[in-house]
Amino acid sequence: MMNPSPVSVHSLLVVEDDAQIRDFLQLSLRAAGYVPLLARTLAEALQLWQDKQPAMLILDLGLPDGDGLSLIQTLRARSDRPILVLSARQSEQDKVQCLNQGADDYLAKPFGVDELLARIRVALRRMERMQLRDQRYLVEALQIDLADGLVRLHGETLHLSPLEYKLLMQLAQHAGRVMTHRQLLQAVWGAEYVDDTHYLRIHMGRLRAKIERDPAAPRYLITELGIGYRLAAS
Amino acid sequence: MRAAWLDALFILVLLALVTWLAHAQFAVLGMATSLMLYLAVMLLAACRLPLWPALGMAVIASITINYFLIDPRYTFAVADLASWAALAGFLLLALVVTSLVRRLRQQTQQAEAARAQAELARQLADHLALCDDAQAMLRSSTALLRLHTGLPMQMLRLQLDGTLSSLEPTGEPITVNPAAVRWVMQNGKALGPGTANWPEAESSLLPLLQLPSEAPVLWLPPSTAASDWLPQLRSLLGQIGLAYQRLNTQAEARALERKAEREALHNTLLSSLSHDMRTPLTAILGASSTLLYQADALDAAAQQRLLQAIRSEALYLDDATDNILGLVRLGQADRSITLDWQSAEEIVADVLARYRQRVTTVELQAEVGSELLIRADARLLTQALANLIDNALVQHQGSAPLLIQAYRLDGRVRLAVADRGPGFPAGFSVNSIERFAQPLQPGRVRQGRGFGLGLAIVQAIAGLHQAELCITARDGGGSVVSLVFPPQTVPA
Repeated sequence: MMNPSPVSVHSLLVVEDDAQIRDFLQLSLRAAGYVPLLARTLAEALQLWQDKQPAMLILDLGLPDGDGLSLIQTLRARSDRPILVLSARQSEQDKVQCLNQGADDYLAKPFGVDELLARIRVALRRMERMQLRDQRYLVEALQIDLADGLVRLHGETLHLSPLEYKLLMQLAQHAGRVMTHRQLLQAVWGAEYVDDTHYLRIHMGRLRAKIERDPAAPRYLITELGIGYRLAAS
Repeated sequence: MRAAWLDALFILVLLALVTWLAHAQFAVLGMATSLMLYLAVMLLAACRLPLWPALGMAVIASITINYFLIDPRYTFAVADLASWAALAGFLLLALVVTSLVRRLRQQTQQAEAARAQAELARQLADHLALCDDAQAMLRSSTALLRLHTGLPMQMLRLQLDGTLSSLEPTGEPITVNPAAVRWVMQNGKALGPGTANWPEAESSLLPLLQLPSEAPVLWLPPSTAASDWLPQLRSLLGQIGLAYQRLNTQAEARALERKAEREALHNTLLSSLSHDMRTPLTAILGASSTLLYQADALDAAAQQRLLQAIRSEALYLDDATDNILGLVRLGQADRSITLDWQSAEEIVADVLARYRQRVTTVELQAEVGSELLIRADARLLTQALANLIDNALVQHQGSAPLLIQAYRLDGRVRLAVADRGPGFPAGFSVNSIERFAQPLQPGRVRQGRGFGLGLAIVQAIAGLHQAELCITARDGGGSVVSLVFPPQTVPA
């Protein structure tokens, strides 16, 4: 930890206006081996993003100088680096908007440091996998080969309907990341079905029935209530 | 008028015809038959013509008979007594027939009018019984009256700025003095032609209620038909006025009910804020200040325990905040809820994931049917289920698992929580929830880790989803509290 190689040290840009939370984030991120870059406003954040090229953005949505959504749009237009949004639990609409605009993930406040670090790890790993063009998903008993499209559970090939298969592939391509209802409906059913959430609920239910040991306590197919779904990445 | 004139001409032509026939064929017909022919024409005249023209016809007929048929002919003189008697008899008979027919016609017309009025009153009564909104009722009743009477009447309301507006803005603009409308409203008396007040006014204004009120006023344009209808209109307006009062009273009662509901939520919210927030905050403050100022005196295990306490109380606060925010949303006038198809399995899984972390002493067992969709607000639904589980955890005894079920019965999706507790107290019913669900009296100890918000909130959430909250005794002890959703069809 004292002398990490320069490549493995990730600098993370944290945009947060509350001093207490900024302090807590700085301490815990540094303790976890990252280099936190702190910004209080969107303007500062944009400057740091350009100057320091951080590996990832952690953005609090309720900033005083404007709208985090526009920052997400601006940064997403320039790079693929992960964006994690911090927001109040009640504001589903905000979160869905951010995710639809290209944020990778969200964390509802209040959160524990363990949750935060897990999300950061997942996001950074996905970034690396994307760079390595890794086409395999393997978590516990579930194995998905994105290149040849094979899904195995406990080593046995799973038989899925075409819709279930497309749905699972979408989630696997973005493993660990929340896919909003709209994103999934658009990718699997098409743009004209983005409001037909009942299709999604039914087919996710069938997927859970085939994949999960206990569908009421899912291990792989995680429901983000009111927002979307994610395929657990670890 | 033109029809009456044509009728008179027709009768005159008939008279001429009969005269020609009687005159030409007098030898065959004789006096008696000829007079009968004339009488037949008089009968027709009485049926077709108003009273005075009909009587006029009788006189014309008598003169014609005298001139053409009674000797000496072609003079107005009468030769003998028998001819006088025949002529007088005819005239008398013609007059009697005319007046009798006239009376019969009047009676028929009156019966017809009474029937039409009764029919209108019946239709209006039927209509009023079906209305549930005062303004809509006034609009549709005015339309009904307009249709039946053919009069272009309108319902007028005096606005706050002193100007008049019609309840149906589509009608032609009408010029009425607002002061006259105000007078009618303030006195509850009709005004205008055909009424006791200001009969020389241009048009009539009739009040809905025969007493001072804020109710709108009926405007009736001047016409003879209007004055014919006036008495009946006033009695029909009485019916409408009663319905108006009834609907307004109902609306007020509903508003009061909503207000009481909001106040109940508000009270629950306040007691919840003061109790459910302060208790964990006290624990956090205590534990953290102990760690700050007395850490030296504590061993590592004790410090760890205090840290754990801070964390678990903070988690509890987080949940309590959710619940309280949910309550605030419930209390909002617009109730910003988002209804969407939710999967019962996902709702149960979401709530259980939270509870399994927190509740370690009781096993939570889920039995969820597949493909059960409910049209609901996801956050409110999880809140309702969480409250049901909190409630059950307070009651639950023994080592048996707490059962959370979702299933479909009789086409309705049900979410149920079944405990093995003492059951609900005798006399408890869903309707008495408000009374039983106010456990946060000052000085009362919180039992278990419920949020103290209880079933009252669940009931409010159920109400927003047109769902029913059912409480039943469970076979083998305990109770089952379930949310029963209305039958819903998932679109294909």
